[in-house]
Amino acid sequence: MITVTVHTFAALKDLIGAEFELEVAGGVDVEALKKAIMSKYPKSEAVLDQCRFAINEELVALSTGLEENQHVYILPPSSGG
Amino acid sequence: MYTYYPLQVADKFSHISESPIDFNLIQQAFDERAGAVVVFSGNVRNHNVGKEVLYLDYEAYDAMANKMIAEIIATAIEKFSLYKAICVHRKGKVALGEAAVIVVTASAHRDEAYEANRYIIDRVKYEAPIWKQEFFKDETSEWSHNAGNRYQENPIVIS
Repeated sequence: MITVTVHTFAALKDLIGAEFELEVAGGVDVEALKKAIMSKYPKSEAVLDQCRFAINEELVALSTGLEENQHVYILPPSSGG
Repeated sequence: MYTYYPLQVADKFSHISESPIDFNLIQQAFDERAGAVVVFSGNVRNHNVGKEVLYLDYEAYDAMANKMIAEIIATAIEKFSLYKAICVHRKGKVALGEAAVIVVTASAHRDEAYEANRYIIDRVKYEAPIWKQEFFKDETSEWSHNAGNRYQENPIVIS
């Protein structure tokens, strides 16, 4: 189990909060984090499936491994402009 | 060959602005080599999804949005042989008729400047971590959705 800090935005932020810590087990990758969030917040499932994930200002694939104390940013579909 | 000239602004992030866009920055794209300067201003519309809009509020993951816009611009400069390219996106509350985003492109001839301008705004809208919340007259609000992008450079493939 490791602990990471999750940052969310827009509609997802309204649903589950802007920033929180979460423990991740299983594969300890972004996919496992996504599942952990869906588990804890079932209403977030639909939005999460459309989100991109970022670590250190770079987009990462769901298969990307996570490290203790990392900051993961969850980005809903963009609506700028 | 073509150099990326960072926008000269006082803000921490040159592509994200908390204050109203200063249209004097268009001048920064003027260049002796550029016969064409194209400007796009994306403004707040008073209606959407059949409802009357009061204002928009933009949220951004500032550092990443700034970085992504810089990358999109650098790519556009190379791809379309631009001399200068500028993009500034607002964050925070933007009023009706006010500019939420500006894209300025400068090239020798107008073909490149027009095409590059469209390329930049489409990619920024589709890829940059920026989100708009619409506030309507009927006292409801909604996080908006953007329609499809003609430039599928970075399709949102979640693997």
